[in-house]
Amino acid sequence: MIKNTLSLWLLNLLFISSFAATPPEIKFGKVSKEELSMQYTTIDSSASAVVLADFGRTKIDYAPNKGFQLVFTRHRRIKVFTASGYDQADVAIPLYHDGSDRESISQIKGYTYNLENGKVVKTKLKSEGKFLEEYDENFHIYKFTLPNVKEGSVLEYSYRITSDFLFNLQDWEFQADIPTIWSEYEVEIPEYFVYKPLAQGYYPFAINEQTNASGSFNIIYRTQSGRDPLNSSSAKQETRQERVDYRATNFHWAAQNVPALIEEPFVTTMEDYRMKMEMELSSIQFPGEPYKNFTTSWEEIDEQLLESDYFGNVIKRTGGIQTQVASLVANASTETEKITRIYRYIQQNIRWNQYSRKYADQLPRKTMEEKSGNSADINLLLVAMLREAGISAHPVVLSTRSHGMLRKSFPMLKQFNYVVAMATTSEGSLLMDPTDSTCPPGTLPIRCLNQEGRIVTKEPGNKWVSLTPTKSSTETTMATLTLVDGTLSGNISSSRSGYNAMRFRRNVLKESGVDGYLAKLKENSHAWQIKDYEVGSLEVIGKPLKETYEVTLNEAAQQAGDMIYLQPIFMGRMDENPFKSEQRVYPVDYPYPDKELFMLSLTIPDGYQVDEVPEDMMIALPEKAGRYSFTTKQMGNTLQVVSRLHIDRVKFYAQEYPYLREFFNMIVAKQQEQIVLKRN
Amino acid sequence: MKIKYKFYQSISRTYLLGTLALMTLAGGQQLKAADDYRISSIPEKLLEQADAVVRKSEKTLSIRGKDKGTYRVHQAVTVLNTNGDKYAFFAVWYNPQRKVKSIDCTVYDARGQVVKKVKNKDIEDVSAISSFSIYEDDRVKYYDYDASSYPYTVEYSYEIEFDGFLSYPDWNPVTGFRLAVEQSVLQVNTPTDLPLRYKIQRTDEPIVTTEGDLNWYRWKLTEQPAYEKEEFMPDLDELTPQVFLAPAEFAYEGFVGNQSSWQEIGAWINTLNQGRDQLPQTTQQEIKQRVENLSDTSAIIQSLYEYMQSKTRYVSIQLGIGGYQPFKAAEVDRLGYGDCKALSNYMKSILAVVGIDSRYTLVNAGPRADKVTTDFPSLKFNHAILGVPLSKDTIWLECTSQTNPFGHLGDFTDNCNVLMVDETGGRMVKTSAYSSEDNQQISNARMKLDEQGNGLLTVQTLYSGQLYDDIAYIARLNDTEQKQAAYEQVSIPNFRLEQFDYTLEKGRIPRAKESMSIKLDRYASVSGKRWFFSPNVMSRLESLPANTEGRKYPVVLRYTYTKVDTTIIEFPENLYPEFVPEPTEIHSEFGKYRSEHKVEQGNILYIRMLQRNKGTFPSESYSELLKFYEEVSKADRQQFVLRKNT
Repeated sequence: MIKNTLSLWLLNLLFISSFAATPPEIKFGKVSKEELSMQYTTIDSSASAVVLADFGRTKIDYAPNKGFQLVFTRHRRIKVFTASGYDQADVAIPLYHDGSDRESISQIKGYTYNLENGKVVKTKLKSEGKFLEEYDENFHIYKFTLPNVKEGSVLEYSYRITSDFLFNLQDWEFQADIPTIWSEYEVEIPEYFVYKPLAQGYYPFAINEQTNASGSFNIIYRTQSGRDPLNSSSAKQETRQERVDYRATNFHWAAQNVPALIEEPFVTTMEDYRMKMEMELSSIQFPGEPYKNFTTSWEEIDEQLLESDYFGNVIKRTGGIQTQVASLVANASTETEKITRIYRYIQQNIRWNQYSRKYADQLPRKTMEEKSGNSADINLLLVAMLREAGISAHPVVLSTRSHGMLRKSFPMLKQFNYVVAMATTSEGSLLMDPTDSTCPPGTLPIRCLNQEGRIVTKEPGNKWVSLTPTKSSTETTMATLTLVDGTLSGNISSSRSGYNAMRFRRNVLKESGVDGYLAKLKENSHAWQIKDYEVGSLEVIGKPLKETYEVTLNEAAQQAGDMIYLQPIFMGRMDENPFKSEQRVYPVDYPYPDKELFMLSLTIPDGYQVDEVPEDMMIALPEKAGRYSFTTKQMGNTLQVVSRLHIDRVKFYAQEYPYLREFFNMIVAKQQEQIVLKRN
Repeated sequence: MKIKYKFYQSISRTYLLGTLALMTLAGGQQLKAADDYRISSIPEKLLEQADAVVRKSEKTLSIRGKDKGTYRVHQAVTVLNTNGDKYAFFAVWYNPQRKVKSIDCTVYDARGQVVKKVKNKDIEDVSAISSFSIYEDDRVKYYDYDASSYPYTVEYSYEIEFDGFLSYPDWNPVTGFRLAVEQSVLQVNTPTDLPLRYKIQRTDEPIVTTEGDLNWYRWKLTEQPAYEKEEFMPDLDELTPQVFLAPAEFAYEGFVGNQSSWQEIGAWINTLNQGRDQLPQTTQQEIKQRVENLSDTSAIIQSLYEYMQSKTRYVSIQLGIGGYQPFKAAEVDRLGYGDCKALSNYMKSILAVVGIDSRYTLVNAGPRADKVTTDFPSLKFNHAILGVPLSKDTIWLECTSQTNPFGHLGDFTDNCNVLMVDETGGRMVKTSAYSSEDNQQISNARMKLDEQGNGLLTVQTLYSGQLYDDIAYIARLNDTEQKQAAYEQVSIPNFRLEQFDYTLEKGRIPRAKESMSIKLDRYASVSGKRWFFSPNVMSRLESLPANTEGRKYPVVLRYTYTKVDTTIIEFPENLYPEFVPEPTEIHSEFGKYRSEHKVEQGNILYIRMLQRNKGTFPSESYSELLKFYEEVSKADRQQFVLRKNT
């Protein structure tokens, strides 16, 4: 019996896997009645639409006047189930252009198919439904909208994009915002080019193949050397034509039954989780010409950056900064002091223009004059100034959280989008980014907390540096309160460090100072009355931030006959589990480790005694990833309550999600519990 | 992408139709050398509560014909802190009928010294398509100064040349909160034979002079302190000085009209729509067949409305006479899509086939009913719907939705002054509005608490009238999205949604039913021998209005509704109530609240009723509103205490 079940199960598996690799037979213009009468998709029976098939293909062609070009063709077929799926009929395709190089679209065909009285009726996309929008100086957006779309329609379109930008081979997304039944991408790369494929996602490929192929070009040979396939304008006039046969590599990927990509909280960016394929140009080798290598190793990327006029050479251009550095570090006794002074100078005088970049737009002199710049302008200026002051400093390139995960096994320059600075002294290394006015040296803005960064230097050694903070950010609150006639009153003091302090400073800045912040606080407090409010170390970023005030609270305790019921965690209480959803497909990503401590010292009113207190609790996440404790202790007429939460790890995988969710469930429940006092 | 994002944030766009008509216009004048942009010369009272100060603003509209004119703007804004950056941002829309001439821009520091002369290449030039639109032919030039220190001043000037008018730019010298105005001037000059039509609010009559064959009108605002934002306040433009301008005779792309009366505006719309109502024979046949067995007019209209909904979808393509001309009914029929004008015109053509007369209707959609000044006819609309007059009332049809219940207008278009167009022209009417009895949320819940204090709650809630829309939206999502939305509907700690279901009833007062079964882990907080919990599971007042002193502006409550919850809670037999909360009853001019807690047959019975009124109340009443909310909130949070028998 058991054997039978097992073989059945195996058979089933075989059937699935062989079925999985079979692409649907779809020919442009031929839609089956089955597709038109389809009611739902088994991937998600409630989806408003589904991608029936999406075929993409990229080839490299040779155009006599232009040189090598990428030719991308796409054929997409979508089934619309409900009206919410109608926007699938509106298509927008961005087209990039720069100088005479461009991406151009052609051969746009589109049809809507409907089943009317048992017959397939097709409506063609005509010029009235096509629009070209000149978006800005580098982008056009080609838009079209398919006609006659109804519930049940099948939409189909195809187009071709010819591109002069060999570095930007089209990415392919196997996962869309609606489910996808079949998505397939083929890329044919002639032997002269090497492109590296880079896959990501949480679903398996149905096809993942690499085969040999061949083809031929009609090449125009120029008699003079200087032919540069990436810059056809430098070519000379004398030419002759020849047929060239080449060998090629054919990449072939397909995915089947991929669910829609749906937003989840606590992620870096959802784009990190979308199933997709990217191709990076790594080298070009034409017969009889020198080998051109683009990015093949991290060391070469370092070199490329160091030799760039927008990176390494920016640091060397110290013109216009020497005097400033000299006056800043005059009389500074230690290296740390020099670093702090230079850092503060930039932080206070040069404003970040909100652009996250790895390349500078301007030279240090200009950044000083303009008093504003992108992240590279500012941090490369910082490196230049530190070096000018005799400090060992290097740029560190990284990928910000919204830019997505870093894949170290695929060296590619485009994985980085941001640069910060690192200074090394006898006391160790310090990562710095003065673009955020609330960041002390040694702490990076939250956007930078994404895995690892790379120190850009020719010096040997480990160049990778972890960006995850090792020190926890803390928030400690101490309340000393007395209960009289149902009203709690007394002192509250709190201390915040790290990112918790930064967040508080930012909130104060947002309200234009402590007065504005306090006014806002009062506006939002109803049962609270706040007096003698003071904030310490607000200006001294990097120092823990202290807050003290006196408070009167009307509603924390409920008097009922001889009893008083009181919620001890009357502030900063976690009322809701941050992880509401029961299941999770993608990892949870916290930016930094966190420690929260709350202490209440309560004086019990005369004539009352403690009748009941919440039980002590101590819980922990597996592998010391986090812990929580709640304890109470009575000393004379004082009751002390301590609640302590530590999150020590920043990344939790989907398998660990149930633990994380239950951990917070228990915390939420414990924090709701009450103290009961009874009249003697 | 960064720029795009920032750009969309900075410019608020109007909706759906004729974006041209509502655009902020601006124009310019030569820079004078001697302007004083020192921060120290700003009067003290203008710095209070201000993030920015308009130092000077000079706008000059020069009308030279029915379709010719220029508009010059010269403006200087001092920004005091980062929150004021948005007031230094400027954007100029243009298209073939509005050409931008020279833009000049200079930035000064706090001492009034030139920091930067902005070059033409620094001014961005992008397509002005709103994100939801497929096509419009508008473009925008804008400049966003990236400040490194505060305060700073941005001075700019430019000129727009008009080739055709649909409307004149209104004067709205205070464009936002926390913005003071040192001096702002509007000048209009127009040929004596093209008299200016205007309407003023909270400002003086203009100084009028005649120079040759031109009449000059001049308005001025000086030393206006900043307006602060308050909760439940009127819209800013109901408090600030306003001058509305409109032409009498006007011409646009060859279409000539007169805006002196609503009737004439309606007649002009008729000329645009003329001959655009033909439907193909096959469609006419289909329409007739569809309703041949129906006799009730309302049922016929409903059937044809649903026919239109099934055949079309909304696509925004803003072309044709400044976005005012719909494309033909036959085209909508063939393509299956259109914008609000095209779809309303299409619906009108469908009804005409069976001899039902209906009225193409222009709306200025938005949250405020009185946005269109009924006594000042002008062409400032952004949406179109269809009105079907019946003997007793009018049925309003929103034609851009495939799912909207028949005759239901959302809060975007209900209770609005609208221009109803008929054969002889048009007139102002008001769209329907739901009463507080129509807008109801009624819930019935039963909760069972087990030995551990876990709760199992089953609850049915009916939402009707204006409250229908939010739930109808959820009902139309797919399972995954719906589950997420359902989760967000519930604001209780630690719950699991076991089952949920949404059903819609599309009556004349539409109703949406939400059924949920929810597991509430540890709903009762079990502390030793006692249990604590609030019997108000689902409808606790979430947020309270700000506790501010010195309320300045009247209190405006825009929506009215009634919410009634009835909850029965069963709890284990080994517990008895140690504390039962007192009943609460609150009466105020803002609404009524009542809550009751009872123990009946070993169960807890909890009833809560909240009725919110709508209306405008004097500023002094704000503290009472606050008190009302605080009392409701306190009553909502009241807790039962149960105690173990042993």
